[in-house]
Amino acid sequence: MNKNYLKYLIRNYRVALLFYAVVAIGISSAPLITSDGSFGNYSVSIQFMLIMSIVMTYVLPVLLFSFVHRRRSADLYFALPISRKEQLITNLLFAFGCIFGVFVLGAFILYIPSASAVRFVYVLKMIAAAALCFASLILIHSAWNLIANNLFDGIVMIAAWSVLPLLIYLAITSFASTMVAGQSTHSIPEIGMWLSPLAMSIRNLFNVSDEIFEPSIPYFILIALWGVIGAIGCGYHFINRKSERAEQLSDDPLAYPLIINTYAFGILIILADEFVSERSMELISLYLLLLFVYVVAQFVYRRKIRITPKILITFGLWTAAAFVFASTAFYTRGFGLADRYSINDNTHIKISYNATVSRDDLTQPAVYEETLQDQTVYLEAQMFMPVAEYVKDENLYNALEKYRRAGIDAFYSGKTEYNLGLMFTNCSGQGYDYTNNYSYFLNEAITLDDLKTIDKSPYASVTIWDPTRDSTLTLTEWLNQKGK
Amino acid sequence: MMLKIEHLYKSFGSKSVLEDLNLNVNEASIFGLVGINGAGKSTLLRLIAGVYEADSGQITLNGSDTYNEPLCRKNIAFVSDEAYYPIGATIGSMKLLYETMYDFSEEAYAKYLKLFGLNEKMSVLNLSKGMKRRVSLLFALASKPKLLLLDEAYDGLEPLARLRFKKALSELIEDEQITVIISSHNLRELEDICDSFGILEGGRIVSYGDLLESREMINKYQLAFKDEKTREDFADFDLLHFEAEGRIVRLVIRGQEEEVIEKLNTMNPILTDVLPVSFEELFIYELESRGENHE
Repeated sequence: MNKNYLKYLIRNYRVALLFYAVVAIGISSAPLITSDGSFGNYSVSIQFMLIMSIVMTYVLPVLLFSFVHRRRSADLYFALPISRKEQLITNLLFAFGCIFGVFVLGAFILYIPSASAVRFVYVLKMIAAAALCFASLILIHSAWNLIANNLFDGIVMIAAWSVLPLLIYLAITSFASTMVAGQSTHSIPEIGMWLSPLAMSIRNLFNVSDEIFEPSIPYFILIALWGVIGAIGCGYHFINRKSERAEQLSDDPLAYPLIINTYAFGILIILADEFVSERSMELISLYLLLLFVYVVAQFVYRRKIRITPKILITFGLWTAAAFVFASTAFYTRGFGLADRYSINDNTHIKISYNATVSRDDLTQPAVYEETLQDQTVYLEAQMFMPVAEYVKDENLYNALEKYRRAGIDAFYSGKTEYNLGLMFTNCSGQGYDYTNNYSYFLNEAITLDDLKTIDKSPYASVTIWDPTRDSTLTLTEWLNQKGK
Repeated sequence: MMLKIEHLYKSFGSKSVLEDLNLNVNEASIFGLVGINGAGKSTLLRLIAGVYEADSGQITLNGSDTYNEPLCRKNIAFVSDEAYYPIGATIGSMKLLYETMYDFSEEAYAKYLKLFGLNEKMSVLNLSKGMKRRVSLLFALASKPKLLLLDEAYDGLEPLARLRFKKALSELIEDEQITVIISSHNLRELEDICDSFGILEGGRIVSYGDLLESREMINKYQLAFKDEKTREDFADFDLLHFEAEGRIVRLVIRGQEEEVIEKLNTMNPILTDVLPVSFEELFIYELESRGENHE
């Protein structure tokens, strides 16, 4: 760190910093003004501070490193008698000092009227968690900003890299719902979370601020890891930076070339998943729209409109690759993920069968018209038991496995009845801490004999709700009423 | 030796700008850096200032590498051709940076502020091009540099401001023994102030040395002969320029004036006239002799 440079930054930004501190603490104190200083309101105040601090982890890196993006300012700041390493560290420490300093100040000031209701150790826990998350976010946002070669692209890069995990999350969710019967991909969507230091920071910081949910330690580890990646990125793109990059096109491999193609491929995967599973031609217009956006993105990158064969061929190749991926996924039953089924992830299992069926025949799925004509009843079979008991009850296990497998076949043949849902969930003995969730739509309803088998289990309840009478009967009562 | 540049290479992508450039600039001298547009003058100044990193080679200021030893940049002030002024900056607010990062002299600052007709409360972005240039020069001079790099120094300055600036530079060289490297297209302005020069061409310094000596070594000769002469008749001379109009010949020849005249006299001219060359002519003839086509 360079003391003189830090002194300059402090003196240069002191008015803006003071303004930010007053505004941040002022806004955050609003929930306390009308309150009795209870924990809930202090927690809301801290959450206001957190939101503003997180926003500042975007603003300050853009502001402090803006000089590298302009040729004129690069001439001035890179000619200073200070090493690149010192300049980088001083800038980062200054950003951290501003954001974290104001947050700590706010946390203590807001604590004063809430002291009787809030434990001080909570404030310290909050501050420690904030220190890690702010440091990591500043580092990674600075690194993303430094990938670019001009100010506009710097902002675009930060936004694009921040939103990218959301796209990945959506692509994975789309893949799970359209390609994998039972959506047995419960742990995969987490990848989107792991790729987002922002999302992990928000979740953990808000969990700490609530004091109801525990923050995730693995998230803290990943946040720290992102911080390390950010530090390496900052070092590479600042210390080794060629000053002549200022005001040039952002053609670093991690800038537009990667961002545009990753976004295009991600969206194409989502479209291909839909196209292959739904076989819908309506998606053609979306492909054309995406091609248009792809060309516009190339314009933003190169600052000139150029529809070259290379652009069209690249887009075509990504489209074909997405189709190959989606088709392979569908015909290999989600790359075999549909057959990945584990009921030992937790101690207990919840199984539910929900069917909208004909009033006259519980094995006949309701059709839409019947729903209107009140010809339907709602059948619900609920089971909650230790996994060991479920496996031991062979009749029950075999019957439900038969329907689960039928659900998988129905999914890939496209012959599912959305009125017939069967779901398996592993959870703890208390009924929460879900560890997996397999959800199927059947082609044919569970037979009466199998319903009786389910009903025999001491852990099961099978009920029928009649909407016209607003009455709920057990299976036995219903069958007795019907004389069966 | 104050500034030493050895085997300097710099390229931007596939475009090579400087190739094996070597140069020494002495202490307490004003070095005029000249070259055609795109010759690499600004690039060279940015390399000396430590803004750009050389592909290879070394630039040392009193033995310290200007890129890798940042502390030595305390002694360098770089006035770029397009200086940076932050939005909303006043002269007073810009002072902060120089105060904290350089050996800033309040006394010099006050002196040059007055000399250039500026005041601290002026909003820099609202100033004219010439006034902005004065602001840059003010901070460069107040930072007490040992090496002052001026890229297109006179750009935008009106004659009186130029005169004041030249005077300030002369005083600084006399009092502080500073070295100045100044690039400009206005060779007449450089001629007044520079004691040495370097011509940058094709990525190299193709000619450099003491300006006075060089001008003494290159003269313009106007001769009249009994019969017409061709360029080949002067093949024994270091001829930079040849022009013939009937029996009148105009030559620019490199060499000691007395020796050249003695040699010319052997060709029995009817009339011999010797004229001094200006810096601008020196530049033109140097490049012309290298067969370059210039604007």
